[in-house]
Amino acid sequence: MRRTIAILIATVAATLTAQEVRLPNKPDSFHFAVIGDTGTGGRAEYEIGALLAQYRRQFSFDTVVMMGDNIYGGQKPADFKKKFEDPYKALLDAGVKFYACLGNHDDPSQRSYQLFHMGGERYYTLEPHKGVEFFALDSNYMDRAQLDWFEKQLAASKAAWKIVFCHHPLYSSGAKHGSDIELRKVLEPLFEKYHVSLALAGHEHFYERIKPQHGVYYFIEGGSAKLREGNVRKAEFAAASFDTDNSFLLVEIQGDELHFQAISRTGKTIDEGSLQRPGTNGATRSSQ
Amino acid sequence: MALHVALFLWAAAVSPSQFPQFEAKVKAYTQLVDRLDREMGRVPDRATAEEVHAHKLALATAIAAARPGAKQGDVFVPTEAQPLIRQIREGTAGRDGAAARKAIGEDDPKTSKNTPQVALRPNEPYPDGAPLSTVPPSLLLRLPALPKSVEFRFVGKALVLRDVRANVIVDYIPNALP
Repeated sequence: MRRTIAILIATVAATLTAQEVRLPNKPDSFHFAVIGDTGTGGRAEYEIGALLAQYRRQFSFDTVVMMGDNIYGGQKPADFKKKFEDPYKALLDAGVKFYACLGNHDDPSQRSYQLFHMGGERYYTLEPHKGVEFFALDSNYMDRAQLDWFEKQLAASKAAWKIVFCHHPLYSSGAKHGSDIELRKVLEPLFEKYHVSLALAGHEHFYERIKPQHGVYYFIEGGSAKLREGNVRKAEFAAASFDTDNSFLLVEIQGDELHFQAISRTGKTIDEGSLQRPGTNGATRSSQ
Repeated sequence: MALHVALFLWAAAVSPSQFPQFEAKVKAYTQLVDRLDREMGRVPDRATAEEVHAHKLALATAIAAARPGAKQGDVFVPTEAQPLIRQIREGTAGRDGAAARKAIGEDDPKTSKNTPQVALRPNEPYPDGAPLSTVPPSLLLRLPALPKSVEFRFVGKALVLRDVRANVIVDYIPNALP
């Protein structure tokens, strides 16, 4: 009963708060959403889930990438329902596919859970749109086998947009965690060598966009259910940060351009802009 | 610079042949669990939450039945535990090891708030809701490579060998970290 009421509240809240989508929103471009650190089963997660469904009516997307910590606490079937299947029911019913990576609170057996589309693997690739390839990594356990696999996949990729997503951020202004220097040491050289365009992460319970580093764009979206309010510190590399409410990110790729819009739990646009694919000519435009 | 650091880490990687007994024990363990897994029917790559959970529990039960007298040191054989500890301590020492120490400490289930305690016993399930420590890449490159079905984790100062499929502790080395 309480769960039903929570869903109703979230739905009503989303209906009241959803604002217009400002991306170019072209029908022939590739659209996806980014959420992170979601698996609480709490009210904020339900509200963000309802808001995502609301925005999808204006900005059609069939792909959601999850930045890990997909299920906090218990990992029993009831937890999967409460912390994933119910909050995103409207999207799942509409056929939206969620692609997860593992966070430090996730039991690696999640890799076999059908609705996370990991195919039984801790790390995997997907190409949901021609020219756009995602590389999902397990940043909790970056061993030699995974690094070898990652380099082979990057070397073989023909995609113009190579997008990496994993739980731990290589760059972050968070006071709680901050940049993962260990991970950066081994991943950044591969990003540079194989022209990764975009890297997405969570772990920090807020939204952040990083100034391009060595030709790579970085975003953090770890505030889609949990929130670490006031955790953002001043950092030279940060382009935009938001740590006062929960959030999610919408992304559109059209040719060599990437458009993004980060949206808060109340439907406020907290960051937006356009980025040119690294290695191509063009300027970067963004606003907060 | 970053590339040089990465190359150094690769170069610093320990040859697996330095731990032949440990590797043989891991191989024997994974062969046992592979067999148990095959006999009960592997969990499909696209399973329901119920299937994932039921398979994990059944496999853990089967493992406990198959190695009833499992004790600390069975896989981390004492003669090779010390060189492993040395690798870990060198990899986490001083200024160079600061980032590795930070990464391990952040998700340590021993110090995380409001999470169940991990009981360090072979065959013991790793508790639902306890975070898994991040094992930094620089440290993993110093340790012997493992098959996909088992992994190293830290619980407090202990190095744990964890079965990924069954979510159980295979073995551990106490005080591997200083």
